[in-house]
Amino acid sequence: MSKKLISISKDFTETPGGRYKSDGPYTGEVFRENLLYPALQEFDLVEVDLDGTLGYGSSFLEEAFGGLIRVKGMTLEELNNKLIIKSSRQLYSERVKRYLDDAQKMRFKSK
Amino acid sequence: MFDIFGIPIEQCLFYSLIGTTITSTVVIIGWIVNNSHANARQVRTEQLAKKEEINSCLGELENAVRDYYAGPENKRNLAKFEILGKLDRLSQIIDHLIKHHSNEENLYKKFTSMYEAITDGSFGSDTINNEASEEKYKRILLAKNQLCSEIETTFCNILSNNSKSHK
Repeated sequence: MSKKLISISKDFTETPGGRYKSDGPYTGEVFRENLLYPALQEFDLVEVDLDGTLGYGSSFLEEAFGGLIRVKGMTLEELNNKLIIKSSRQLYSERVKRYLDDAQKMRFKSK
Repeated sequence: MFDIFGIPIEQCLFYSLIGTTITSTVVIIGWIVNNSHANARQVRTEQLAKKEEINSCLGELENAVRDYYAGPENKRNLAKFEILGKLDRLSQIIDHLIKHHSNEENLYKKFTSMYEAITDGSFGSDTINNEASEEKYKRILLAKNQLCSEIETTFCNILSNNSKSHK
């Protein structure tokens, strides 16, 4: 089983912020498109380490993780099996789970 | 055998042993009570200091939010980092509170509501929609005030639980 570890602070930036590509260079969409989604396509398991940055806005987290379901069409079940979120702050790891759940619910509603 | 004031020495030793035992017991009980009160005072002081820290952190956060959403352009970037730093510190304190005083679910909910109010939309973007700022700022203040009142409730509970456990 292949596994990939992504540390946002080391592999992306220590100052993530913003939602869309047009918002700046280190946004949720840029992270999802350039790092997270390709890793999920290539590896069986992807662990994302959220520690080491200055912090996250909900806009960044929602776009990066919720966008996997909303935009990229992945399912919650698939992500539960493939994606591991590591954070020393309960706030961020719980928010990510919440955004994934919300995106999944929105998808069912829109169907 | 010796007598002391007409009392046999064995009896004297027996009474002296009882006297010493009673005195020691009283001293030990006094020490335990005093120590327990000192511990309760220490815990109370620490909790009040924590509450002060949260409130002061929230005050600084409010200033940073004002600078970010309604301040001049040159202050926005620094304000963004300050907001993230304060939210991170608050998150750390609240995680600790929840870990050690398990019934504080409301506190966590109010905190996440404030977090969402501050950082939803496109927080951290290079541009900002000024028209939406005033409405957003009001929403943030409301969420912050709700968190402040939840903090009061939480610490009242914690302090009252501490004093009950020391009675």
